[in-house]
Amino acid sequence: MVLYLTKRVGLAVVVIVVIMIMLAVLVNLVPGDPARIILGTHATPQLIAQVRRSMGLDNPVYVQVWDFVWQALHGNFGTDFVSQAPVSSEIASPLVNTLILSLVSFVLSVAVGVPLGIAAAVRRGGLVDTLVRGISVVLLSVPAYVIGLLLLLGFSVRLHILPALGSGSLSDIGGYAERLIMPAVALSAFWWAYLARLVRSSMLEVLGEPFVRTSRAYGLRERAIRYRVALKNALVPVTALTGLMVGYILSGTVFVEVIFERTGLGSLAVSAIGNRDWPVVRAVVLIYAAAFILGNLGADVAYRFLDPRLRLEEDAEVFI
Amino acid sequence: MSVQAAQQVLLSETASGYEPRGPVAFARDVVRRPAGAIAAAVILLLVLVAIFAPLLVPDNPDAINVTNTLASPSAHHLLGTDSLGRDNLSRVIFGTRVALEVALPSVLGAFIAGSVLGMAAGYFGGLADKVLVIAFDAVISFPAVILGLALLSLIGPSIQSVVFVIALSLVPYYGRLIRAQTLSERKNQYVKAERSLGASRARVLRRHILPNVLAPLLVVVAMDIPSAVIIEAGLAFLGLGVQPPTPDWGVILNDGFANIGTSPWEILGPIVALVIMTTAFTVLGETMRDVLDPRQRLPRRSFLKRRSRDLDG
Repeated sequence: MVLYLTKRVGLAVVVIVVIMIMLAVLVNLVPGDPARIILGTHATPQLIAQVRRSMGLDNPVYVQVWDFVWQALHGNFGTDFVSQAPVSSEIASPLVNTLILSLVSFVLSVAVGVPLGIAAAVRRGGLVDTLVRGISVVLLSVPAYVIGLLLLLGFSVRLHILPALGSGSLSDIGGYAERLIMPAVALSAFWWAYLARLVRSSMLEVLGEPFVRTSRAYGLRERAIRYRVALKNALVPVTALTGLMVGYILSGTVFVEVIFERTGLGSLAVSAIGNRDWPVVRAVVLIYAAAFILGNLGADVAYRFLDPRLRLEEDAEVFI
Repeated sequence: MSVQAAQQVLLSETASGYEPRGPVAFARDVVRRPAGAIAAAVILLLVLVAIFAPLLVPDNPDAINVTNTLASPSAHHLLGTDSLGRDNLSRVIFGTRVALEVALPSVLGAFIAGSVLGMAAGYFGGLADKVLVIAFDAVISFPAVILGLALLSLIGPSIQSVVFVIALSLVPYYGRLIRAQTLSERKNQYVKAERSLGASRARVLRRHILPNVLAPLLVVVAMDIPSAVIIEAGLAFLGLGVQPPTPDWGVILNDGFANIGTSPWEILGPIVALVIMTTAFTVLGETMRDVLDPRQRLPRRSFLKRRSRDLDG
């Protein structure tokens, strides 16, 4: 386990550094003058000269890479072209909002999806089972932004039940939480369907295993078999999916933040692209990728830890 | 690894257990199931709609009419009109074209590029393998939309750049799957036998490893098409993908979102179309997986019922 952990963390660090290098050289890979690519065709010569100087675009590429990686490791992501403020101070509060939204969505996904799956597996052919199997196929094909738009249309525009816009402020917890409901539902609905189906089928599979029959033969109560034996085994594949969940929810925040006009990293990046504000875009993209890598790291370690068969394979291949 | 582990969970040894009897027999097995037949029929219908869009539309999707903007549904405009007075239904119908024009080439491109890179990494090993694996990991760390944010702001939005972004975000998934399968195939005796008979590496890869690793990937391809459609429309919705005035589902969603208070029916057209298309491909992919993988057949219901009845009662 220790060897695995070292290798796995080491790989995550390497990949983050590789990503930083990729983001630093990206403007140089696109054919044309980097400053002009960043600013678009309509930029004034003064602006181009200013950007070239402030981003060090005249330096050799390796110097640019070194500067960006070194500064980014110190939490410095350059200067916002539009506001002239440091990017790091511009992204601080959107980052908090996006993290809260992502965490709430993650918890909501698991808290609804897993019990649904259990209910469907325990009462096979019952109401919950029929619903899970019927609705999930459609829900699995609907993107978060469609659910977000439909929620906005239904609950804000038509019924006026939930506040539509903004993310509120943390000093008003009630209003803040109320504004989280629709975005979090939009981001987790997919996982309700997915996790419900996965938990259902893996629980049914475990329930058919010989060791479950043996437990029954020993007189274990059905309840104990379901929740202590079957559920524990059925949750391992759910852990394996955590990495995908992190990716889905993170990219979903971009849409949900735009739809519900929340302050967040995603909406910040979209407006920064409109303003051709590359330092901001680059910083946000880096944070998203780093969050994805860290989420996967956590998921992997948990997966290994939960499945004793994997824990023993010290030399297993390391992957994100 | 968890992405990889997830793929394993999703594919769960797809290849095993199914006797490959050629693509025609496989297609027949898929279509023989009701779900597969319906999904295939819907997809065929969507493709026909895309091809014959100009003959099907009630109105020119680009015809602006400033005297009739954001109109409610009527006999003339079944889904109403948008902020420039264009017929929503006609634009949704043409949107089928754009959706398939982006999704099919991007998934196919990713499939081909990923297969070549994955087989190269798995078969040759060594430094090439290490570099490719790290590169896959680096690219996979950007969810497709985030990759879109980074690249489209620099290379500019267009149909080609959207195809490129989606393909690039999918390449590492195919690359990894094929690499893992190639590694396990390479250990087989038949590869060693073939090599000792003097076959070149290229021949072994092409004639023996390729057919063996490709079959289970068809499922992934079918499942990735809806993702590509979703990403394409999503990027267009954000204003980063296909640009107006192209009649694209995401572009229509964007216009409808801006006018959601006054003309809610505008977003409903593309939403329904999008969900039909993605559901059809998802169901097709799942049916293909079920056909390939008999393990998905769970213990029979009567057996479980009897079990629990005996023990509960």
